[in-house]
Amino acid sequence: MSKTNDLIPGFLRGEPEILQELYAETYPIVKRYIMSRDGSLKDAEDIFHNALVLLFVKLKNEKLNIQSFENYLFIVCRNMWRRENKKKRVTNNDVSTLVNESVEMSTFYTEQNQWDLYQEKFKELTESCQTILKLVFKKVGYASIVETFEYASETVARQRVFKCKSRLVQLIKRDTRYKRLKTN
Amino acid sequence: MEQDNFINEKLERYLNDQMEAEEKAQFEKEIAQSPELQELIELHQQVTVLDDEAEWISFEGDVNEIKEKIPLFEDEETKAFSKSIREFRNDQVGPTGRKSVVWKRLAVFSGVAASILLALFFNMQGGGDLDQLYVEHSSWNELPSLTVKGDPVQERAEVEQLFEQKKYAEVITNVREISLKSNETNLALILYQGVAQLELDQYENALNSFRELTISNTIDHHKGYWYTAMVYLKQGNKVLLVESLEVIAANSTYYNHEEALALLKEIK
Repeated sequence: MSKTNDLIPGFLRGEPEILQELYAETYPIVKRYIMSRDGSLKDAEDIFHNALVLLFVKLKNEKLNIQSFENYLFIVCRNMWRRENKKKRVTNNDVSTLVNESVEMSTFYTEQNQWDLYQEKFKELTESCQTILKLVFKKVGYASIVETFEYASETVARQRVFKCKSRLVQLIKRDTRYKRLKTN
Repeated sequence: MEQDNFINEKLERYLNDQMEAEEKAQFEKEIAQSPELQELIELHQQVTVLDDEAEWISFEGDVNEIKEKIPLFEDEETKAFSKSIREFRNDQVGPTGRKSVVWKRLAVFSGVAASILLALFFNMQGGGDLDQLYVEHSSWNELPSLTVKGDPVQERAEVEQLFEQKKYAEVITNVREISLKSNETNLALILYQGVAQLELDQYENALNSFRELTISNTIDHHKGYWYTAMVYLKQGNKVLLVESLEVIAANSTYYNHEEALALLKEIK
C-alpha cells in the first residue's frame, strides 16, 4: 500500500498524527509559495485550511486518482491562491457582493474538478506534446523552444504547438464531463 | 476532413495573429456566427494560459454543478472536520483570532447575472512537481550582501533592501542605473538583477543575466549554472534543467553541488 493510501483513512478521521505530518511537511512549502507571492501568513493558514476541507469533501464523495496526497494538496493550495489573486485583480468595489463561504468552496470544487479533467486529458497527449505545451504555458519564448527541440524554425515550432493544443482541445471536448459542465 | 483542415489552418493563423486585417475581420464575422468556432477559440485561449501563475480562467458553465455541491460543505460532518483542524492548529500555534478572510472576502462577479457564482474556472498543472521543487530550492538567502562598509553612496545597499522588500522591478531599474554609471561590471549586482527578473517571470532576461555570470572570468562564475537551473526549474523546462544541473553535478567544487545532485535524483 502506498503512503498516500495509508494516509487517506487517517486524514478523513482527522487523526492528529496525520494532521501533524501535513502541517510539518506540506504547510511550510505552501506558506513559502504564498508568502513569496505577496500573500500573508494569514492567507497561507486560510488557504491550507480550506484546501484540507476541500480534500476531505472530495475524498468523501469521489474516487480520487492521485499518486501523492501531499503533491495534490500543494496543487490545490496553489490553484486556490491563483484564483484569489485573479479575484483581487478584478475586484470592483462598486458592485461588490458578500460571498457565502459554502458557495465559494463549492465553486472552487467545481473549478478544481475542471482542472483535474484538463490534467487527465493533458496526460493523454504524447510525451513530446506535453513537454512542448508545458513550455508554452510557462511562456517560454519560441526561440528557446526551437533550441530545446532543435526545430528548423519558429514557424515549425508554432505549427507543432498548434497541433498539440488542438489535440488537447479535442480530447477535452470529447469528454462527457466537459459536455456536462458546458450545458446550461 | 478537408473542411476541418481548412478551418484549423485559419484558426491557427488567427490565434497566431498572422492574418491580414481584411481576412481577420472576415474570419471574426464567421466566428460571431458560429458557436462551435467560438467554443474552439475559447478553449484554445484557455489552454494557453493554463499554467500562468497570474491567471485563473473562468467560463460560463452549468450553475447546477455548483449548486449541488453546496450541501457537501454545509453538512455536519464537514463542519466537524473543519472545526477539528482549527482546534488542532490552535493547539499547535495558538488561535489566529480571525476567521477565514480568504473565502469571505468581498468579491465581485461580472457578466451573467445569477444568484450564485456563475464563473467556472479551470486550469491545469504544467509540471506541478517541478513547481513544488522550485518552491523548495529557490532560496535567495545565500545571495551575497551588497552592503559595503564606507560606501558613501549606499546605492548597492539600497538594491539589497529593495530586494528584501520584494520590489523586484525597482531592483532591476536600480542595478541598471548603477551599471550605467560604473565602468566595471559588478557580478553580485547582476546576480540580484537576475533573481529579480526571475521573480518577475522575465525568463529570457534572467537567463542573460546568469549567462553573464557564467561566462565571467571570476571565481564565482559557476554560481551562474545554479541560478540558470532555477530559471529552467521555474519554467518547468526539464530538458534544459537537467542539462544545467549535470554541469554542476560533474564538478564537485561548483556551487550547490550536493543540492544539484539531490535535485537531479528527484526529477529523474
